[in-house]
Amino acid sequence: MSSTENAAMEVEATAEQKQAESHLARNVKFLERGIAAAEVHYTHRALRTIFSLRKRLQSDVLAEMIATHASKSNSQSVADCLQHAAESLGQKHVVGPATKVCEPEVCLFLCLLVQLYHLDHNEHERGAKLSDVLVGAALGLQRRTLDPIVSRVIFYYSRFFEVAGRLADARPMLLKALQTATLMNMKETKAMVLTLLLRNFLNYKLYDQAERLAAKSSFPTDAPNNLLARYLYYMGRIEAVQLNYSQAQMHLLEATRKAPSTPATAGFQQTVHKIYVIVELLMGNIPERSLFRTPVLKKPLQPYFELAQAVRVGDLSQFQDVVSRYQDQFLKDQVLILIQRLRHNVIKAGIRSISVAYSRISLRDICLKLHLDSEEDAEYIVAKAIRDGVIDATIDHEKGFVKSAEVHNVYGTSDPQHAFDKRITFCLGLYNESVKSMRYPGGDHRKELAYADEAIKRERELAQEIENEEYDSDSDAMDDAMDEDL
Amino acid sequence: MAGQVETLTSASGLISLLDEEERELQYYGLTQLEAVADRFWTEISDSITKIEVLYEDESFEHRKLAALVASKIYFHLGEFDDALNFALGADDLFRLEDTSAYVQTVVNHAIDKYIELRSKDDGEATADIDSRLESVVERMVERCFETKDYGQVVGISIEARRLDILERALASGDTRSLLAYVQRDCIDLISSIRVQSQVQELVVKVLMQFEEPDYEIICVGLSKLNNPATTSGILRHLAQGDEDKVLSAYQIAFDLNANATQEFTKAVVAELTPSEDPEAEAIVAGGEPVAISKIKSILSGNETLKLHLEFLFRNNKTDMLILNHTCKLMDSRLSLAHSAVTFANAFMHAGTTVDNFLRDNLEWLSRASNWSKFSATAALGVIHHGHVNHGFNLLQPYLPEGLSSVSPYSEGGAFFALGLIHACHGTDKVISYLRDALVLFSGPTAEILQHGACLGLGTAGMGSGGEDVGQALLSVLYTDSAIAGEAAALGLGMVMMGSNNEAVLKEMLLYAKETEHEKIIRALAVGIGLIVFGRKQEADPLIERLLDEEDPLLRLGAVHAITMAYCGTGDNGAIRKLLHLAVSDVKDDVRRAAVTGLGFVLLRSPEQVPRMVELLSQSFNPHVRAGAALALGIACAGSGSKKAVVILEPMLKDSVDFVVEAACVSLAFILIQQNEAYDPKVADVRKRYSTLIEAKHGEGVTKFGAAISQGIIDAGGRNVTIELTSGDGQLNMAACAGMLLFTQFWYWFPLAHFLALTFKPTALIAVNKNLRLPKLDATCLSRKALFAYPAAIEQPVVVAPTKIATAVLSTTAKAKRGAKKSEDMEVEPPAAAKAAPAVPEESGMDVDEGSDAKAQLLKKGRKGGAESPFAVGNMTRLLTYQERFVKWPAGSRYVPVKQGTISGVLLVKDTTPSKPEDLIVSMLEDDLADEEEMATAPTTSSEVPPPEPFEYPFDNDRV
Repeated sequence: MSSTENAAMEVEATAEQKQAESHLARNVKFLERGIAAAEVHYTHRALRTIFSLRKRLQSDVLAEMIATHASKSNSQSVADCLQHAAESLGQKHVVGPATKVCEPEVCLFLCLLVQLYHLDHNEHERGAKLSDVLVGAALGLQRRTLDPIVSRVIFYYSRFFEVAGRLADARPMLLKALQTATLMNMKETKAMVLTLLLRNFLNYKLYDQAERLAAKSSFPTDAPNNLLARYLYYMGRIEAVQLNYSQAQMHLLEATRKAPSTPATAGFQQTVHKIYVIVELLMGNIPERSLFRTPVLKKPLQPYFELAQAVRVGDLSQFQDVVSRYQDQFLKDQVLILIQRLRHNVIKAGIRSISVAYSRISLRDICLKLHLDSEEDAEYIVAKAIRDGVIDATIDHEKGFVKSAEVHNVYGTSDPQHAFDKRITFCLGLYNESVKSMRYPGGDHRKELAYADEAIKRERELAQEIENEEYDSDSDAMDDAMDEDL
Repeated sequence: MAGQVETLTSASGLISLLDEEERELQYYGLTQLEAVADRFWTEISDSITKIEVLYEDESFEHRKLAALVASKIYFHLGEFDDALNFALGADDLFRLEDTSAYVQTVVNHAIDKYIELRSKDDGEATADIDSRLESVVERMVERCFETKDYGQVVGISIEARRLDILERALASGDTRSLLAYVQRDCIDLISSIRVQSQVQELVVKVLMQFEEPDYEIICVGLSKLNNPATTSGILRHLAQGDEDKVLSAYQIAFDLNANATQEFTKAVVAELTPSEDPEAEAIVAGGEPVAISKIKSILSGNETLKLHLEFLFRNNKTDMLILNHTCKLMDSRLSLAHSAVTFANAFMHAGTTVDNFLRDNLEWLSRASNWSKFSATAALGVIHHGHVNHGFNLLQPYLPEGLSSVSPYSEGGAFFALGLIHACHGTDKVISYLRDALVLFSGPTAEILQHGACLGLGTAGMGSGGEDVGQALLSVLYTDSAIAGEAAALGLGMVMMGSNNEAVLKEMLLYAKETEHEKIIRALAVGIGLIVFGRKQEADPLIERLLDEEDPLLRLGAVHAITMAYCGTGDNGAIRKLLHLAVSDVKDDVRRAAVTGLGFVLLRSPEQVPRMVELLSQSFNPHVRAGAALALGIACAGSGSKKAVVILEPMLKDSVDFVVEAACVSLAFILIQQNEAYDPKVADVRKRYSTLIEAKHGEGVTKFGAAISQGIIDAGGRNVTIELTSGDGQLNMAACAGMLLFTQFWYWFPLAHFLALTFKPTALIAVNKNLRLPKLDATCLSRKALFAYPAAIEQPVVVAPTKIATAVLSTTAKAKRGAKKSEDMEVEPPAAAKAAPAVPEESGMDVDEGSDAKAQLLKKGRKGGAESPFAVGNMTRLLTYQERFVKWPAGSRYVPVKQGTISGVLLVKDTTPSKPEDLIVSMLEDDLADEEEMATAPTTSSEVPPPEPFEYPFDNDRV
């Protein structure tokens, strides 16, 4: 590489750095405005750009930024954080000449960037050490405006432990964080900590504990959608394992709906759909074929597609074949245990289709159709199916046949009404939620009217920003997490 | 073992230990569970019943431990009540000194619970409070004592009504600052009057224990407790002391006169009068009666009134052009327009004794008829407000002679005027005169005279609670005449104000249901409100009863009762009730009054009002809008609140006339005494007033509103502000009553005069030990332009412009320069030095240029002489928002007795008494006699001739 090229590179680098720097400064301004107005929206705006910053930031820019914010007038915990952050960046930190007091929000924001820096550069040891300090300080500060930042700091705290493979060690701190967040009514942090704890338990297959935790605590109603989607996914998994299929199905379905459907969230969608398919099968339903045709899902869901086909036909040998063929894949997806339960379902599905097709059939024929070992086996299985309400039939033990009951008209019952009611309630709930989440800053509309054009322009900018950055960035983080799952 | 706990993944093993037979094993299980509770609470909570059973097992030795574990689990589950109960069961195992979130939360909950229980039974029966709970709270309080966290102890003890703890806290901490904290921030927040007075009593008791007691604070406390005997004792004690003590006695007397009720000050005066006690006789004989008699004179209000009168007269800066202009534009044949100008004039000259306008506009005056004549005569009372020594003389021409009534409207007005002059300072002579007037007259015109007399009696006897006056008014009420009865009901309310007199209230309620006159019922509604003034919870039964009434006028009474009973408390319950009425009542009048009431209730926290009424101000219902405007005006009066102005400004363009009227008045309340330099909005608003008046086809009501607003914004010769609270945040009873009655002008115009009761002169008034005014200066560390009087308006130019243009064109520059110079010379010396009231500067020179130069001067002030401090002389205007910039210059000859505040009448101590004093000469005629006694006083005669009596050119009324 010639020296001129080298110089050009440098210039470019510094230009980009400059941009990053100005970006950073803008974010700090947002945070300060947020503190002044006691509004978390500004904080969210600052956090939204964090992932584009993350790719561009360099350690010296960060260190410089931290140096300008460190001063003697800071409170002890804030000063400690900054000190640690600077040290972990390899700078021998000196208290800067800055006279301005660094707000804890700004401090944590900068430290969060340092955390990310460590994560991106595989400096897990340093990152973990810094995170420890940060979480301790963040929980001690107890400020409502810190909420979104703290939730992210804790996320990366847990992340460092996970990378190091000692997730269990993070649990006490997370439990403490949960307590603090509950008492302080920090919604986002609480949602995040609950999700992390569930993940933590599931990582060690502590389904029982995870279920108890979920039952004993309430997930904040107005948590961000990203967190909600993740929480629902974990809940679905727990419930699937705990045999609570209908709940699991509902939660998983909601998780797929709540998660943004951009290419960036493909990983999450795939993971959720895998388990969703199995839960559907376990419930005796066959998933829509169109699901397997979706471009994002087509390839990863291939084994599940074959599985579904086997279940649909009720062919036990085909089922065994699929399971043995994709065993490794299923094991990796942590669904093998659920799939093994499916065997009964395959049989049940078979019985059901038989009971629909035949008003009366001998046990021997059932035995043949389902490749069962003996007539006696078939009798037991059918009896169980009747008891579970899978089919509506009676067994004539004397003559050795199964007689299906008359099919009654569903529309004669109140079932459709219930179904409609459920849907209407859902729609109304959705409407109310969207009304609630609309915001009208008090009195601002007068000013806005005067500068309507400007406002529209700003709106557009904001929309674009959201489109560009939020989804892929936040789901970035989510993917990080999801990838570990896979 | 620690390691073992660390590696646990489930607590089920430990939980199963609880099922063991052996007590030892159970105990071990519990200790382990206690250690891991934070981590495995989700698991343990499934078996919480087992732990509870262990706790309830009396034979179990470690049941306290079980309680602690259960408490922790419940804490994690968010069941704080249960957590608290078990924590109490854990007794000493529950360690208060821990700083964990668990302990803190439970303790907080305990304190909340304790406070709730204590306040529920009103401190009577404490038996049913768990003694363990009490001990937790007490342990907590002990810890606060150890860490010297006295502020918290004070807060908890007041909320929990534990006066014993409060007393201990006051004794052990920095008593003075704590007491100030209690006095300033706590007492007014206590909703139960009984507890409030208990705390007050305690505070006074502690204060008295000092070696050098701060008698000023004590006396304020005593006035709240209504304890005139002790107060007079203190005053007498101080009066016998050295000069410092005498001065502080005077100061206390001035403050009491400003803040305490008339009933109280009268009682103190009575107590001060020498009794048969030989000792007291001896003291009087000992040569100290001078001080005592001075104190008495101060307490009776004469001194303050005299000083205020002097100040207002001396500094009168009324811009007659505005008034004349308005007068010309308003069609005087309409009684509405005529009344408007009457009120504008009355407010502008309130308390100044300057009645030039009336003298100059005799012809206009003569067009008044019927009730507008009543208002016009009563206006004299507003103008001469506080002129107590000459009240009778001034009004002599209008008062009826003997038993014959010639002109009932002007005579009735004169009665009212008499009351206004003596407002809150009714001497026996005035009271008995007016009382006699109630019964003296008969015939068809009697009710008009009675109307005036009732209002006058109420105003003069405000809050005096006199039984005989009350009886006289009641008997007028029972004559069932709409006009007289209305005034009688209002008068009754004023006289009995704040007394919560059960008997009178009962009579009024009964009569309100009996009578058929709406006027009377409405007036009774206001009267009832006034009687329960400041009684908070005590008024609740009455309010509830009135709220259920079908008659909207009685519900109106409920609104007034809430408004007055919770005036200035910011009580949430009251606000909720008012807001509910404001949006749900079927009667517009009730809704309007309810919204207006919000302004009264939130008097002390005006910053909340704009936010609260913002939506209401955009209501579809014009009555609610008007109410919202008034609420803003009342709560933010004199504050210049920008937020309120932002809401009110668009309302000036409202499509409904009376909303515009209310907005005008409210803006005047808010922007009173503000000038353009301080808030540029003022100029717009003033201009808006004149455009509203000038509009050819404007609504009468709008014009009325704009005209009286012009009067209000320049009230009292631009030297008064509207203030419903006194300097240290106490409610000014008369002002609140005045404001409520002013809002009734909606129904009855003459009631607008009551606004005069809310006017408070804003002056630096310092008096020496002889109650004379020495010449002195305080420094104001801010820009002078911010606090200057607004510039006089331009005279509408009628001269043909061409004539001047050709003649002066070449010399304009020179003329301008000259004009500027003369302006400078006139403005430069501190206003204090000038004894004469400012002559309108325009008189000498071309008007256009004069104002031009003034504008330049203003600009110069804004740029150049920015932060330079300037002097504020004695007896000159000192705005409320200016007070915080004012300092006493160090090393000056006079030192104020009372530190801190600068409002009200101040007593100053002369540090060099040997030097002859330079005194300000009084300009009011009645002081001339005193003047001569003073050897040191310069005997220059007053420069302005005293106003001569004049007569209204009313021809005889024929009704």
